[in-house]
Amino acid sequence: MRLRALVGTVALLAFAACGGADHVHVTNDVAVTITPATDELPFDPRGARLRAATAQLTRIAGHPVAFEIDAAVASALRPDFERDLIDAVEQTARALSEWKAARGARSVAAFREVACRYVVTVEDDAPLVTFDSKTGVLRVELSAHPRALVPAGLVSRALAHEEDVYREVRYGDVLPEQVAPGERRAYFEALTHRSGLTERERATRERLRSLPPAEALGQSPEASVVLKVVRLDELSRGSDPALAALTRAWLFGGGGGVFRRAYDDRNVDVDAVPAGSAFRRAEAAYGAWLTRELPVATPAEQRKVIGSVFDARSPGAYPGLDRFALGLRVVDAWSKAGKPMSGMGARDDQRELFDEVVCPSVRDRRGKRVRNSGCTSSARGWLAYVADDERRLLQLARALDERDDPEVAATLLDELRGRPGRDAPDALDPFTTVLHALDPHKRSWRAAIEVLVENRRAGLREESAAIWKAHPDQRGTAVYVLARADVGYAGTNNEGSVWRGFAKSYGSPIDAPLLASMLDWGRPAFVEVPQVWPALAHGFSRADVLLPRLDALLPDATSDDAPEVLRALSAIVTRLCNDRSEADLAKLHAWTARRTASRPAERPVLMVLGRDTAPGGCGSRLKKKDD
Amino acid sequence: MRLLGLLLVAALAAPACSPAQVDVHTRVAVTITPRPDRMPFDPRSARLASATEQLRAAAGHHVALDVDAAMVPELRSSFEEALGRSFEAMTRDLTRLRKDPEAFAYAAARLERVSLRYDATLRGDVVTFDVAHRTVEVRGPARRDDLVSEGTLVQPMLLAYADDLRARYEGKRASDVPAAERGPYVRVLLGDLPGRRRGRDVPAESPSALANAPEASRILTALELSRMPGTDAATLHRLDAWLLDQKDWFADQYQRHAALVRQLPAQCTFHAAETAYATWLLARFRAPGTTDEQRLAIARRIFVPSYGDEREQQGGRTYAPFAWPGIDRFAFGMSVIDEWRRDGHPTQLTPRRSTQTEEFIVCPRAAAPGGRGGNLAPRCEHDFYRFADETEGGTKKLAAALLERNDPVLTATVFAALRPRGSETDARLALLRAVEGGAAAVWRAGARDLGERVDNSSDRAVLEEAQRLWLQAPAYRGTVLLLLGHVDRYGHGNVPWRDFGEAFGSRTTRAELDAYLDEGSLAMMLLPIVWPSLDRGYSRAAAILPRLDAFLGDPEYNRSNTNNGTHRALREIISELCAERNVADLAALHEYLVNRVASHPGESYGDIAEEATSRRCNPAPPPPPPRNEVRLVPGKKRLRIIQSGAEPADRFL
Repeated sequence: MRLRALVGTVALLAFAACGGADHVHVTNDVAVTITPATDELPFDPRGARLRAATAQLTRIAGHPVAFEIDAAVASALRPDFERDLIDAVEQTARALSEWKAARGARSVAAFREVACRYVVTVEDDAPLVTFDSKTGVLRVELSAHPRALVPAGLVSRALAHEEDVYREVRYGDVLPEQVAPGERRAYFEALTHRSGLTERERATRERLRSLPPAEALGQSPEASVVLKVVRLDELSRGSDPALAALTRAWLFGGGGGVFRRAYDDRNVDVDAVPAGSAFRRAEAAYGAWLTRELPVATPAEQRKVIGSVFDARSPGAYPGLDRFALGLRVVDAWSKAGKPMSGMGARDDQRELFDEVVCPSVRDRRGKRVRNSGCTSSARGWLAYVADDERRLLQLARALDERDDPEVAATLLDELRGRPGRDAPDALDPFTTVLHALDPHKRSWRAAIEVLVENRRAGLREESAAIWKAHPDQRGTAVYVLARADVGYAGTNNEGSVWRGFAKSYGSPIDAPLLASMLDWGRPAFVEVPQVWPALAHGFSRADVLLPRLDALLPDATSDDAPEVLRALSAIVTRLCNDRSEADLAKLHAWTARRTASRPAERPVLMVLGRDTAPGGCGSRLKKKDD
Repeated sequence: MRLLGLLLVAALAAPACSPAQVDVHTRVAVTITPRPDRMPFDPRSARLASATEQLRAAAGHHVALDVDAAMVPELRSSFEEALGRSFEAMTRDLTRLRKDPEAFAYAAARLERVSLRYDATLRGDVVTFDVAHRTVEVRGPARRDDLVSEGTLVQPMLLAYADDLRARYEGKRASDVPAAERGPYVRVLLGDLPGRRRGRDVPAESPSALANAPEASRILTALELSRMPGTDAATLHRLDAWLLDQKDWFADQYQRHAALVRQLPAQCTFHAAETAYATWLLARFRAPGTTDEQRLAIARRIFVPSYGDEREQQGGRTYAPFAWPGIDRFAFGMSVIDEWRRDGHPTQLTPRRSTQTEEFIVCPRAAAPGGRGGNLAPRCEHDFYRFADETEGGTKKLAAALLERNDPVLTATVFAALRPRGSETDARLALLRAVEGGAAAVWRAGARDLGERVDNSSDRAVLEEAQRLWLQAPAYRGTVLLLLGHVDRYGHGNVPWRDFGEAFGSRTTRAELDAYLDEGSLAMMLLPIVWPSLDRGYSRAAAILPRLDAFLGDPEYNRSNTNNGTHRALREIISELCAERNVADLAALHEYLVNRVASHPGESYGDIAEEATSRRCNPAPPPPPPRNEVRLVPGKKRLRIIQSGAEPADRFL
């Protein structure tokens, strides 16, 4: 037996609780039914708040919404029940209002009744809520002492689940080609916006869980969705730009997640996924889509995928997509944009993209490359991808040679130095691999040598020997690299082990052309000359090699950066004194005389050198210590 | 349909009566909409009466409260309590609003009604102030702790005032605003609008955006306003505080958007504001009321550094060359230095302590007792000196400034504080060279500081500079010798003492020894090191003894440990005299020490006096073999030393 009581306008309700009628005649939009009927209405149907709340609910739903409440869950106390009832109306009104704004009116239009039922198996804090759009009934299964008749949040959840079921029924097995153009948007929403799993999906998952991982991945429902969205993207392009924008955003955004997870999942052997499976077909379609779209993608779009594209460890990831070329294209764009630095100020996606792929840096006064922040390219970005495989490293070397841009080479190689590939064999040293593959006659190779000597101490001796052997015309560079290896400065105990034994180790001493070739490396090479001295061959004038370069190396002896050269020059004078090379000393003296005559400001700086290079000047050189 | 339930005094004994409207005996009313059957509260309640009266007093007029019947609590007592709390909350809100008198004057005058409306879809209140209808409307859920909770009125009233200000002043030129209205105009200009958080500046992303940055325009307008006569003190204070903060905005552009600043056209709003602001900032720095904290903050911003790749992109310079074009940063630093000099070279240890700004710019060394330099300047970051170092011709400018001031304390401070991009030794050598030939005291202070920093240095550049100075500037030889003493402080052979004459052109004469010892106690301490450079033919004692009293009385060196300080120096001097078989000087020293002990009882120089006799001299040790003629020969079980020097081998037996 039911008792239906009116809620709302003033009249007709005084008798609502009277008699044993099944229900009371309803003259208002919203009805509350207590089942079974109680002797007395446990609420005041004329209460202002209840009337206001139900009026608002009616307005939101567009029609009256009935509340049918099992007497077993109704509070025995009138004020409590009134409060619970109003709360239920408010919760329903809020949920319908928000759902209507976010997801449309279909479910709200179907919403007719809230049925609160007592179910003995339901826990106090775990009510069950379902919505059946065919009957329009929101069924709330409650315990005998529920905390609320309509718990917060559960109406929306029930509506969302119903929406999922509705879409599954409507679009579950439909292919994009079968969807009418006007319905494609809804179809896309059905594919990509899910609030949870339907029964069917749950069953599918259960079934996949029982399969071997690779086979389960092959039947991945998410992969099927990607396949459909790629197709939908093709269909909508040109005909429905709004939908095309959505599909594109999804494919650049979360769409690739299924592949990223698969490639990174160490429990799944992606290579074992059967050919022709849904995953394989989706993977191929997505790879082709990326190959087609990335070249025209905005920097923001590129940034959304490059992280996962380069970080994918599976060798066959993103089939069809040339990941090396993708990164190289960003490098070229950076180069074309004038090689901008990241800077500290406003950042845009373009700069962020350069940062993530190229890691731009600049050389400081000491030759070190610096940047304001760390970057991840060589840890898990493009350079890490390149560093993982010798073939790609050789590809990089070819690319650098083709561009022959020392700044590009230095920037990339500086980032690559000292970093072993993530999954590469231990023997693979990415930097050295690229260095050895570079053409020694290109500027990229010289840039690589600069990176080498500025940043690495270990391995320089071996590198020097390798250059000496492989590139006879670059032996000056080999000497320079060895000098920068800090193998023992002149005057120290181990000087003899390298420089005195140089001729025996390398097959010949350093003659004039070789010294000149070494000096082609400029100031850093010049300051190493005193160290190299014991390895110089007899019988050639050191001054004849050094002096022609000295003016260029020391444009202004009073400048801030002159002392480094002056120290080396002083040490060379000491060497010449020790060698009793009076002819060379005389040439050097002439040079100092010419410089001080033409530049009086340099006199104080060059005075002692002039004195010591003059005839008999060697007596003033320190005798007990070498330089 | 509405029922006006009247508060206060009378007439409402039968509030539940049927008339749709009841006479109102007071201007303050509580309305319940729609009308209930019974009045759910007692309008004669003393608390309500008092609360509404206080609300009237706070607002300056009556304010009505219109409550949706759906929001009225079921129990009469609850509603009365809620009503009372609501009036109290509204009164407190209006009182709080009075803290902003302008906002209060505007908004309170326009508030006549507070309307509460039930909205079943809302979880919290949505409050709006409909100025046209003079009503604050509160829409919200029915179940609530308070009908009108505290704070409900403040924000919408402030926002209404802010909207009104913007409508009146936004886009207006300062000159178009009457003097009396500059206060509210400035609030709009500065974005200091009530009820709103000041919006964060959107960083410019292009040169053109920065060139015409709204912030730059605002700064120009604020500067114009600050110069206008007739502006009231409060507005001027607000302008001043805001302008003072704008140094951070410029610094941010220099530091974080340097690439954009470099690309700006010469004529643009940014540069106009920059120039005008720099002038204002300098004046503000020098204004009498500026606190030390404010001056420090200004100084820090004037020397705003760049980092990382930004620095490299401006040629490795720490301080953007394009920053603060209206400020001569070198002259600014020197002005602070001059203040510091006028204040008597204060440090952290002087009775009048150095200011934070002085510490930041000057980096004064706190000299501990004994005169040796410490460094107790926590705010010293060497910015001024780094700036001078990287400025074109900065070393020469610094040298000229030092010579012009001829202040040895300043010179020593500057030499100590140099922090160049390259080698510190090279920078000090360059500065020393630059002050050479000027005031001798300046050069000497610099050379002494250099000496302190090259203890035991094998740097050939220092040695060669000393050689040059010895040759070219005989007047400096005393100080040069001290410098050389530092270079070879531990006798490691960093200076060719035995070949001094050959390496330096001449040995140390008596006059040069006098000049050297005039450098103070440290020179006496290092005398045994430089001893081999002394020329023959003059009495060492004649130079040493007149200065021994000062040396032995120097607390820095006169230590209780008889193996160090003055004791060690005296023993080494005696040893050198012995080596020279200088009987006369030993006797003179012996006599001096005997007299010293007699005149200073308790001093422990008695033993040393006994050592200062030719009888106690040990035979001179043989000179070591030339180092480059000793070879270690491997290949045997034991290493064997082969002496192949010119000296006969039996000399070493």
